[in-house]
Amino acid sequence: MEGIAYIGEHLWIGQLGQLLIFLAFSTAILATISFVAGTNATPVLSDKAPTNWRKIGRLAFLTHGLSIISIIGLIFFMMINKYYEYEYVWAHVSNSLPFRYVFSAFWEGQEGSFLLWMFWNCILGFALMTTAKKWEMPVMAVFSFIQVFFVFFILGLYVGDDVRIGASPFMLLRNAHFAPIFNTPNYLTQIEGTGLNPLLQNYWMTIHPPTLFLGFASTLVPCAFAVAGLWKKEHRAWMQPALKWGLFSGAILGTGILMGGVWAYEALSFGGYWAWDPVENASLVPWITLVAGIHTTLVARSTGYSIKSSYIFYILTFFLIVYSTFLTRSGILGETSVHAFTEMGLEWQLVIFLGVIGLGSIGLYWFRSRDIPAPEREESVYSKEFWMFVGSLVMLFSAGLITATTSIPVWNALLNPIYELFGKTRVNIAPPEDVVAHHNNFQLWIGVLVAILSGFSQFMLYKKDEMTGERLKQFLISVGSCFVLAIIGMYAIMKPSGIQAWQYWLLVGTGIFTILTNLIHLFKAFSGNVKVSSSAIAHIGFGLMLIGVVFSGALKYPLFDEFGQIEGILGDLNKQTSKNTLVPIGQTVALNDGFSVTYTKNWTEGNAQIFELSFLRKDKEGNIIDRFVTNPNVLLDSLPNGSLKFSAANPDTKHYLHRDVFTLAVPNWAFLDPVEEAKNDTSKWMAKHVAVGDTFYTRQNYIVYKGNESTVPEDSDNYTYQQGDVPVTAILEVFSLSSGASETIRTIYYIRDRQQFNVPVTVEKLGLSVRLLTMMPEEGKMVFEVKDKTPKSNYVVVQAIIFPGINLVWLGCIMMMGGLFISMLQRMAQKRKQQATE
Amino acid sequence: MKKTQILGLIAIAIAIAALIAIAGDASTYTDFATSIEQSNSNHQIVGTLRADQPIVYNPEEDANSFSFYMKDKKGMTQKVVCLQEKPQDFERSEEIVLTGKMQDGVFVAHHIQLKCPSKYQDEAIKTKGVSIVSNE
Repeated sequence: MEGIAYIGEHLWIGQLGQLLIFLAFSTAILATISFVAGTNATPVLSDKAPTNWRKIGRLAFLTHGLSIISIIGLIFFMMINKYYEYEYVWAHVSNSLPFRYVFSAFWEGQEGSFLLWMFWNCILGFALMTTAKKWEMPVMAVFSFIQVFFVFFILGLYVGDDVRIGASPFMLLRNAHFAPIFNTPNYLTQIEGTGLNPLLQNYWMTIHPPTLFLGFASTLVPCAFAVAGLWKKEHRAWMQPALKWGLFSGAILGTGILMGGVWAYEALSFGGYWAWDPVENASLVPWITLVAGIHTTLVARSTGYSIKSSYIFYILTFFLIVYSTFLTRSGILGETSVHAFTEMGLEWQLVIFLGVIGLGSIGLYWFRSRDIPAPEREESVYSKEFWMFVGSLVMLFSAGLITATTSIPVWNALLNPIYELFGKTRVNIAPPEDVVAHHNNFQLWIGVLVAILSGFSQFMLYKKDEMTGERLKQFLISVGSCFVLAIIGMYAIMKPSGIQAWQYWLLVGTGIFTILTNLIHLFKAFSGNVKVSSSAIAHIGFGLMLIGVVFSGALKYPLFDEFGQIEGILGDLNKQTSKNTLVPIGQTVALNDGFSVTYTKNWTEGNAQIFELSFLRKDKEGNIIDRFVTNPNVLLDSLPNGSLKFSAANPDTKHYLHRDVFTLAVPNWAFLDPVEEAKNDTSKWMAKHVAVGDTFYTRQNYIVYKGNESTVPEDSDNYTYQQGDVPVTAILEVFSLSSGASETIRTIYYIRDRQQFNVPVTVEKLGLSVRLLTMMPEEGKMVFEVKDKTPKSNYVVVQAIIFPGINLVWLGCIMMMGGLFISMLQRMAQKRKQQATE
Repeated sequence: MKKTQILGLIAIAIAIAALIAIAGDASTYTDFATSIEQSNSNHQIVGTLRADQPIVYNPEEDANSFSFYMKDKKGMTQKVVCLQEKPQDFERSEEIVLTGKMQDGVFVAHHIQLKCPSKYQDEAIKTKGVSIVSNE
């Protein structure tokens, strides 16, 4: 294909883009070197320290950031103008893709999502250059260093013929694929983009990835401060900015994860908000360690304990973020995840990245660990810091347990070379058969422990070695009364719910306990101590979430399954059997729990078919107690042959305060292959012996044999008169049994060369085919054959699932994120006040 | 002993117990032959769809099951009944992971997971009218 002068390509963009990638790469290296040198050149960190390294580093990072932003701008330009000569454009947009999805299309692919991540890193980098003061150089050194690896992923550099470093978004389509079409110079006039996956064509895809990637990117900030603290032996000072940024990161990352859950629940056909899928776990685990880190930092800032664990948690969080990137993008998850990326040849780059971060941070920590101050005396069991540390340990457990199971494919990849070395057979460990039940069974205890700890530790104080006298009395009264109230509350809520498993009772009980204790704290906050309000809000949110999870999980049931009303037995909360039912158009199907559903109509809007389902609910006496309509829809493609191709189903959910009714409908045509359908027309011809004037029946019609036409029929596609033919045209009147519609038809029979022929007639709208098979002159009868085509059934397969208490999950999660966010704002305000007084 | 040391020991003990529990929960991928031998237990089997065999989902009869034929990694083909609706893009699946057990000569799966080809692989270059498959 060399030497062909292609027409209409815009090669300058790719060349400019590639140049910018190399510029971004070299400036990231330059910024790293400058900031490292600058940091090492200043013995004691100070923002006044005059150093040229800072200037060079700033300039380099600024150039780097602008390059990244320009690269993104160029890709958008290519996408908006539909420059299909570029593989990335071709793979993610199409002529029919609405403009509002151009952002989604941009970050649908690996290269785009890496760029989104880098974009946030640059923005955060700019923010740190202006606000980090004396921390600027070491923190920016970390940022620049990490950016080097990120640019690696999009470098698109070939070493020799086979080794590729990174995947460039400016790769030409004709270099990525080899197809005969590229022999034509004007191939561009003939191709169309493949467009955005229809499942992703929704507004969640516009808001979820930027939030999640800002969350991912922001975990680097506290990590960078931790590295700076270790590096410059400022083992206490680093925690103030790290805590502020940690809270920011926790709020954003948590919101991103929550958005993913809401998306899965609201807009995808998963029928749930959390499935413990490896990709979901991969973002949850770093969030858990980050929250643990926030808690140890609070301890460390108040007491001087837990500085080491604060270091470890923040660095571990970023490591886990990169590890989760490795899991989801290397293709290693393969068969264990629904939505992991497939291999892109970046595996080794990711492994190297992971190795550098892992070994680098372990090395740095080990090198400095003896310098890290820790109080001589141990924490007292009567102090708040002791129990907060225990709580962080519990969270670390949670993270470890989830990771151990999620990483099963990694265990396989690690163990097999060792097994082979010793001549043993390869292992092939599979995840637990019921992953959801597996994780729930472990994490339930984490939930219980965290709820208890966050409940009673609120009544404890920092740096108190003992608890005696009045304080002990107060503590016992507060905790005791909350405990009693929690038991009463648990009984009041759980008894009517019908949930039997005591583990769920325990989880709900501890949830109520932490809500109560933290409510007391919230009241205290209103009467003076505003500082504790954020933690109280977050912990109340945690308790509410636990209750919501139990109810929406254990009591979730499909409206079609007679055995669906689960008695709250411990086990698979997502058991998905018998959740579908068939509802023909115009018909009503009775469901359980007094519900019934009618499929009233459907209509088409753009590339969506929308269904109207009317739900009705009656009480035991038959009185209507509720009615509502949902409009689930499906996205479709129209194929050239006129048939429809199903591409995605979108649910519609009826929200109530106490529960949701989730509905999903998939139409009959989604299950059928039109070509196969024609082949499988199984209805058979049935013979009818009739005389003129007789009436005969088929399954859906009755037919009156009116008589014959004596004239020779006109020539048509099916019959042309030839000399010597003996044609007979029978006249029949067909009446539909159901609609009463009628139609007069003519069918031709002829004898040619002493052989009998017939021309069958089909009446599409009545689903009937007729042919005149032969004549029986002796009896004065004709033999007709008829067949009713199976009518095209019009139905939807409906899923309707009740999610009780789901709003508690959302409310709880929002309160947790809100608590983190408020805490960050309080800390920023505090700092401003401090600076003002200084 | 210091409290942190006790705490550490407890933590290690719980961690070991939990890891043993995870190892106990974890299963192995098997094949149809093994599932016939050990028909009482659940099996997770990886394989590919036999496109030349019928895939039947008839919601008018039963909206909650569909059947197909799968070839496992050892090359054995077996009829499978899966107790749910037919997943989207089932025909395009590259690889299937089933969880279930043999019952009366049919593998009854209560869970199915598909690996679908990414957009990058084997994608036809869509032209206006004709479609040309790239032959990578």
